[in-house]
Amino acid sequence: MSIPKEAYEALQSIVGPEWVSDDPAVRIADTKGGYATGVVDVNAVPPGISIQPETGEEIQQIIKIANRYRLPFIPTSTFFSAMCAPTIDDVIMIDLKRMTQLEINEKDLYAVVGPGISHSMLQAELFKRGLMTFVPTCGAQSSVLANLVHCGDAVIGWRFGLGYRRVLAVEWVLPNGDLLKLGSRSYLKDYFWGEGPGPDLRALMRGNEGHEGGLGTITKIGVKIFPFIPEKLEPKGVSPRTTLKLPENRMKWYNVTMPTREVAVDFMYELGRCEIGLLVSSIPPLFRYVARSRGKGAAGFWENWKKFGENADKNLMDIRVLCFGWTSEKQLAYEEKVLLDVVAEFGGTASAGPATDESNFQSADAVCSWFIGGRFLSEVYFESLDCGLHTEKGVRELARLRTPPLADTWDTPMLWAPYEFGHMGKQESLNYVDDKEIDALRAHEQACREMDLKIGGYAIMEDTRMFGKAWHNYDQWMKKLKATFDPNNLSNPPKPLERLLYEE
Amino acid sequence: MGMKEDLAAIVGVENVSADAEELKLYSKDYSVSMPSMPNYVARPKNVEEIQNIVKLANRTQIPLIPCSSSIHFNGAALPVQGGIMVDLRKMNRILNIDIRNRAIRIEPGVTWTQLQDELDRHDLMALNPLFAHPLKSALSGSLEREPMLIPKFEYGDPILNLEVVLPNGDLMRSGSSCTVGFPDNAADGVNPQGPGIDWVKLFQGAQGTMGIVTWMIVKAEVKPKVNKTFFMPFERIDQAIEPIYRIQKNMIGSECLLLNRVNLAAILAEKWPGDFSFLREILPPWTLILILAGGWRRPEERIEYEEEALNRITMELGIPEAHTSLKGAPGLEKKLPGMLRNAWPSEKVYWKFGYKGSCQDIYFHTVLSKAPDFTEIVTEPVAANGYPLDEIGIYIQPLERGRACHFECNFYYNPQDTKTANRIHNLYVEAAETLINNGAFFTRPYGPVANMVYDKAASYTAALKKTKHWLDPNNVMAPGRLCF
Repeated sequence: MSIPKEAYEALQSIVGPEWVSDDPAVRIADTKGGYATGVVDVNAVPPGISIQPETGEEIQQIIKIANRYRLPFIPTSTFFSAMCAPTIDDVIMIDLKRMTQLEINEKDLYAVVGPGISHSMLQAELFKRGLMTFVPTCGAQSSVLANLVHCGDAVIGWRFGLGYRRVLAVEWVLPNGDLLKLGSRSYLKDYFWGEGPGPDLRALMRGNEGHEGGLGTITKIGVKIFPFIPEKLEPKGVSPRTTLKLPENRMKWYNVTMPTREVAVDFMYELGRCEIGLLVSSIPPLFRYVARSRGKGAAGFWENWKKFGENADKNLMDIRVLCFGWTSEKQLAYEEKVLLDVVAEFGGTASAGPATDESNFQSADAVCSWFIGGRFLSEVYFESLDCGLHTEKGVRELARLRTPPLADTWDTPMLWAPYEFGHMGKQESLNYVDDKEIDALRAHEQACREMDLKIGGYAIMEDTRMFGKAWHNYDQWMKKLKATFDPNNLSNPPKPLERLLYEE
Repeated sequence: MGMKEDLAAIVGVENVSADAEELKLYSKDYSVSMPSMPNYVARPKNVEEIQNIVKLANRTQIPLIPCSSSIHFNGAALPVQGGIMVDLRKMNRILNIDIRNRAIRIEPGVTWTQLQDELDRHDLMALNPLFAHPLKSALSGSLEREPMLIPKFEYGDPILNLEVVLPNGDLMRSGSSCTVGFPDNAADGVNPQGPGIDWVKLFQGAQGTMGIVTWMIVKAEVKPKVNKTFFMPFERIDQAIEPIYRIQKNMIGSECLLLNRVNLAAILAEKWPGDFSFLREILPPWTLILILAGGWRRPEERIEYEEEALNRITMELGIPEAHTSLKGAPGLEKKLPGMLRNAWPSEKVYWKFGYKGSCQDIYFHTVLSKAPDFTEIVTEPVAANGYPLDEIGIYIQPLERGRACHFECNFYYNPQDTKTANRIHNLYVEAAETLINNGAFFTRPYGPVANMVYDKAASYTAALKKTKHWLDPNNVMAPGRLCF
């Protein structure tokens, strides 16, 4: 260990010796894990030490020590995502799991959470109070704070918008150890509002994705929560393989099939104009087969997927719509009628789905996508639903050129998740490869980015080196921003400037 | 060459002026802010001209003050350190109406009236504030985060993306509008995230200090074909709060706002001062206005279930059913949805000017449950400054399903009466101070209020100054405003 003894002792004195460790077992555990393991953390090295503070003040002190001894530091909350895995030596891993502050303001519909609170934990508390949040599709075990600041993607965006816009007031320890309070917290004790005073400095928290610790450590946020219905969602099954039974008088799934992708997109636009539904999302056959194969092993999946592909109708697109009687049972009936009107008008078919939910309210777990083996990478775009038709087609054609070794998707439709009643949407394509073929996945990724430059694709996984100049030299502004707030370049360098994926 | 000649070389001699009479028009606004004269006004016609003006300012250190409207409030466009007014009114095109994505791209000079008229032709409507002045720029109103009347859209922010000339003259486009070839590529410019940071949020509430926005893409929504208007009268403001919470949590209604009798009378008066006096007498002290809007399909059925829910709420609270008409304003229920979805009509005296010629607003955010307290708190500085308590206008706008509210006090006064205007200035300062000390959150601090707010928000102020220096090291953009 080349972390100075004096620094180590100073850190011990901040949080107590029991909450600092340089034990190799702990350090290795903090090296890898979580979502995108094996893809974004291939260059990961163990941190120099791992420290677990309990308060924002402790984090300030830790970061000041880090600055004094010029030690890089990385925050991590639940380590759900591997994106914060260290790639340089002697990093202080600031593990925020102990920060489980949770306050719920039922009247004014916001909660205050520390980084250690997961979506599942928050949702469980909210359901007790007749309120709700969402769980991101990547997994309900993720930290509310980290997830919203980093990505916040969830199909509930149909009605409630972009995840990071659900962040209200913020407490943020900057890379020099100063505490920055945003929104109503800037001079009040309240967390009910995020903007201002004046320009909204939440602007610096993230762009397409969060800064991944590159601009300090966010320690507490106010987050929007939403009204729910009086009826309870009852769990069924044996943990962890449980599902939630939905109250049929208030919630009803519909599985809609449209003849083509283009018609499906038209259909989603029309639903947006109608302002109905709590959730709307297309369901790619690939996702469906992954979900159906849980517990059957990878071999079961691949066998079924191959059988499906031989007879697949690659044009059909399936969309799930959750009609919701927020106001009353009558609202549910209204939404169903409107939905069925639109389905009929667009030449689709609709059938009622089972009155259960496994992945949208309490226990989403896209990490299960790993069980079928190999590695996968999502090409995720946020733009209009129409733009999604272009990007999906482009990614599909590029993937075809590398299939195999990329697993065959049979040219079936990928994911569309419209947001804000169709004002925008996510379009996501998944590509799998065998462990040994990760280079093919990277080559595909590179080809997708080159396509983006040509057609105007706007992928989440931006690469400042490829896009900086093309996108109005924003990389230069980011470099200056990093230098402004992190002059010692210690806050998870080189974030937020480059993605690990592209680092050699 | 002198500055005027330099500017003329950029925008053309006909678009530059240093004429005192002309400059005087930019020296004051409809607020109690101190007048201040610019040195020049330049009227660029395109983004390249703006970039050249900004580069000129950086070479010479002269301040730049962007303005987009023919009318200004809050002192937000006053040249407090002199400089060049960059008058953007010549850039008044609606560049694109994207009906599928319900998004519209506008230049700074597009007024709310212009925007709504155009959207109306496509069965769409803008997410506008309460009776914006017809000459007010829709772009600057959105940048200033003027509250929209419809709290049902949780994604409260109407701005999707924007193009901005940064303080060094560089061009930046936010979100997916930064893509190569936009708008002639696959992107529709509707994703506001990135690149790198959330640029949209940085320019909102900035009062022109962070750059000059040259176009903006804003959301539009489907204009309801069928509406039903409800009025709920209350004797006291605290009686109105729980109904608003319940309405919003039941997810019903479109436009929803609470007005006291002074403001409602000012809005409804056709003939001054007779109508105003009459309405002030007969209107209830507080009126909650709720529009139930029919959906794009089966509109009547949506209104039906929402009306049932509204009746259930009133029954549960033990208050009278909401009325479908307003005493003293016959036929208003039919006209009001259309009125609320438009700017103030240009042929009528602006509603804030009818009573005494001008109006000083003071507004902040709070949670709904605290609105009654603030109604009381504000009376202290009002009384201390001799302003009649029964002449305060109050407007409360629930935001984001009632998570918070915009609380606005309106002080009507005669701007020609210097003594009164000075008293209103004192009232404004003292009221702001009292409100801040009692927990009012001023998200949009103007003039002297900015100093009070930033004095309290130490960490925010320090970070804001760093951010400003990152973008504008020469502090050429609107210096003297906010904490810069």
